Amino acid sequence: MATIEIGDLSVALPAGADRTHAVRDIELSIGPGEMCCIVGESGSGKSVTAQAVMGLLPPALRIESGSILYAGKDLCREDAASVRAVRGSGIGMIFQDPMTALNPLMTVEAQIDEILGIHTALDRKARRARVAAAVEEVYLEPERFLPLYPHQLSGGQRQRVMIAIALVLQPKLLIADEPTTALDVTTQAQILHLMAELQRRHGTAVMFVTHDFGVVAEIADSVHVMRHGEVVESGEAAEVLREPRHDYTRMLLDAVPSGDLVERDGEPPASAPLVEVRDVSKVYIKKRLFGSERTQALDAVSFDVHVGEVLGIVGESGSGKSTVARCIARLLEADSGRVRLDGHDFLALEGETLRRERRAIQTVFQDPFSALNPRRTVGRSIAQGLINYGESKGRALATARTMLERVGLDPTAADRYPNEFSGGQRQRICIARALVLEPRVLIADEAVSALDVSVQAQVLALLRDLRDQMSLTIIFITHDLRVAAELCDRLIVMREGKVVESGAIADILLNPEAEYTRSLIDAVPGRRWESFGARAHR
Amino acid sequence: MVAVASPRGGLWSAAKGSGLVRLCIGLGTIALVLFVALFAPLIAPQPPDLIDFMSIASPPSTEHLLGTDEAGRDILSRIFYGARVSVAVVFVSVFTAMLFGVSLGLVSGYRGGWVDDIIMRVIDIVISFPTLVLALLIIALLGPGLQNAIVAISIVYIPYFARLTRGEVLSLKSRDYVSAALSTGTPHRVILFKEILPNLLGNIVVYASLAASEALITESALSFLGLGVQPPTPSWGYMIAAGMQYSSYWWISLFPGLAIFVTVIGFNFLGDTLRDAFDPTLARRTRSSGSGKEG
Repeated sequence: MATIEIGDLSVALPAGADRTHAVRDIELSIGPGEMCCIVGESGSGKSVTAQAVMGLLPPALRIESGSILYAGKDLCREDAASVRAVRGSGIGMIFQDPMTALNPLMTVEAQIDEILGIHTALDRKARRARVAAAVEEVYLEPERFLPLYPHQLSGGQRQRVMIAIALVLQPKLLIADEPTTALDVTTQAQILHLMAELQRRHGTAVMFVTHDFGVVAEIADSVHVMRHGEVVESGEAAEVLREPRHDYTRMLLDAVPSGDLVERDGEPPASAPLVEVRDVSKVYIKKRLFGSERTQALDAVSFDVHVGEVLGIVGESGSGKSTVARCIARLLEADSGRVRLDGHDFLALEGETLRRERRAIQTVFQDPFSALNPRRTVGRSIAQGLINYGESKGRALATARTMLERVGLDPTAADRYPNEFSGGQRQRICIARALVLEPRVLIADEAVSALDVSVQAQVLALLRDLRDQMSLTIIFITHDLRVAAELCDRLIVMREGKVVESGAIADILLNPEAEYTRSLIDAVPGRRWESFGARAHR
Repeated sequence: MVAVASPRGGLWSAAKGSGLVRLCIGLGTIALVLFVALFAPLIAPQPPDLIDFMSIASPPSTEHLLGTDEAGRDILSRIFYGARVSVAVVFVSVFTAMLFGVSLGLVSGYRGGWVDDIIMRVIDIVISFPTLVLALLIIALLGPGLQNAIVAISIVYIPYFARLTRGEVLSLKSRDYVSAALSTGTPHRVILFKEILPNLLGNIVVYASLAASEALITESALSFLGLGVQPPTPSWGYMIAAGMQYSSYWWISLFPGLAIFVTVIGFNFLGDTLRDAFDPTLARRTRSSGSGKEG
């Protein structure tokens, strides 16, 4: 018998939304010990489905019809108190951001103990033992971690605590809503591994919501693909991945950056480098009440960028990859070191000279929503750069329109405001804004990380086309090796402010030298499924 | 400030509905005060300083709707004319405070470094005085009168605008679109006025409407103490003070007091609704309320 059975579930959206239902006619059942992934892009209704089961739907949404059967009870019909009792002890939950899901004022021990106190009749001593066992199960030493507060833990440790909390009552069903999305790849791999292990041990049914087919390939037994609030395809994970039947699934799978290496000449050209970065260091100093806290963000980083190549900088959060980009673009001042552009010292420029020379290095930022001024038209935002360098307003706006066309948008977009565009379209606008100045170097700082896979594939294709047409030089910063493999010629791997490895992309992916690079590659979700990077051999 | 929508009332639409009610009340009240101030000579039943010897300190009647004061002047007429003083003081002083405060905040937040340090330390000092005490101090230096009251109230509220603006600038400065503007070679002047200023104006307008109600109270207090506008020009604060000496003639103080009360409520309602409208986080919080952790 299935642990949970969802039948014909429909959740209505309030009037005036872009569609009538958040989810419609969802059929889904998960058996004991089954890992079921619900996969889809943003707005597909995957989280709403999970929220409906958890009883955490936003107040504006209501279940219109259907049933959610758990342990013989329909969670849509029962009264609030009995549903709460069932959910409390029978369904565990893990959320995307463990920092906001944990109480910042309670120690790890207190948070787990609280749940035992509410749902069990155990005495203090028995609860202590259960708490310690729960933490041990997620591989945290009880003596060390129980007295800590959430802010003293790393992201991965916090998510482990969340898993311990979710599993402490030994629920039959675990709901995980994008539990690894906010984590670094290596941490993500550990957490996925841990979840799979615990699930096997306890025979828990898991509903795992994700946007990443790599994660699906890694852990799923069954998969439901959602789009616009409907399940378009479902079945055995292996089968769906091997032979997707629905066009949308096929499109999504094709869009997943597979880490295939396109045949490319990875050797740096013999000419002098366009950008020379030498021994750049940066220390962040955070003032505290007493003294200050120093973080070495960059520690003597050196590398070259040659004309016409795409140099990838890969690293996890805190590796300094964005800091080095900001130092090169002079959005942040390096403490020491040199950056030469075409042989000229770029870090020595100041005032008006700096403003004039900035044109040569343009950046596309990660978050397309904060990268455009909400109160200026798109056309003005793009044209401003040209106006700054002496173009007349009319001609600058005309060029902006041509540029919009070039990045695949309608020229009339120039007269509209950013809020009328989707994330992918905004990122195209940002690319247009950078390229309209014909920079020598384009820095893409996690430029595709915030986008859905299908949109990400489109933006990557655009960057590839532009590189070929305009022989652009690109510094491409990403945390995702799969994405880097799609676009980059050479790669630099950074960790804790240092360059750990650099070289041609094929060399690094196929024969990593540094231990850390190997662990990064091993952590890529779903790499066994598509045999990551293997096609370069052929 | 004025909690009309209860936070657990649940429905977002209901909150939005009561927001509309608040907006109407706020706008309506302020419009009424403005109308009265502008057209006082046309709608007042009598000139404000016409003395009716037959009815000195007479209670509300059909002849004098809100009664007359200790000198036999019609209170309703004096309230209408008093609105002119209040409106003038509130609008001029809040606007002046906004102008100077926002400029200081922009420079301080954007420039940073020692300029920021100096501006903010001076503002810390000014802000450490209670508003009324500071206003009294300035009037003591300049002497009483309408113009000096306006100057005093402006100075008192400059620091609040400056602080608010500086905070906003600091957060906007780190947005990617400002970085993008910088790296496309945009001059600082353009960044300040085209990228930053338009995006913080919303919050400033909200604060201005809330500051207006406080400015009105400060003005009334100054007039009450005889340091604001000088008699015989009618002013609400002065009218309350005059009535205080004749406690059995309750109407002399009560009605100007009500006028202040209603206008303050109007500004507050207006400010609250504007803040809700401009603050996306507040809307988001209302929409996702209830998505806490369970079990």
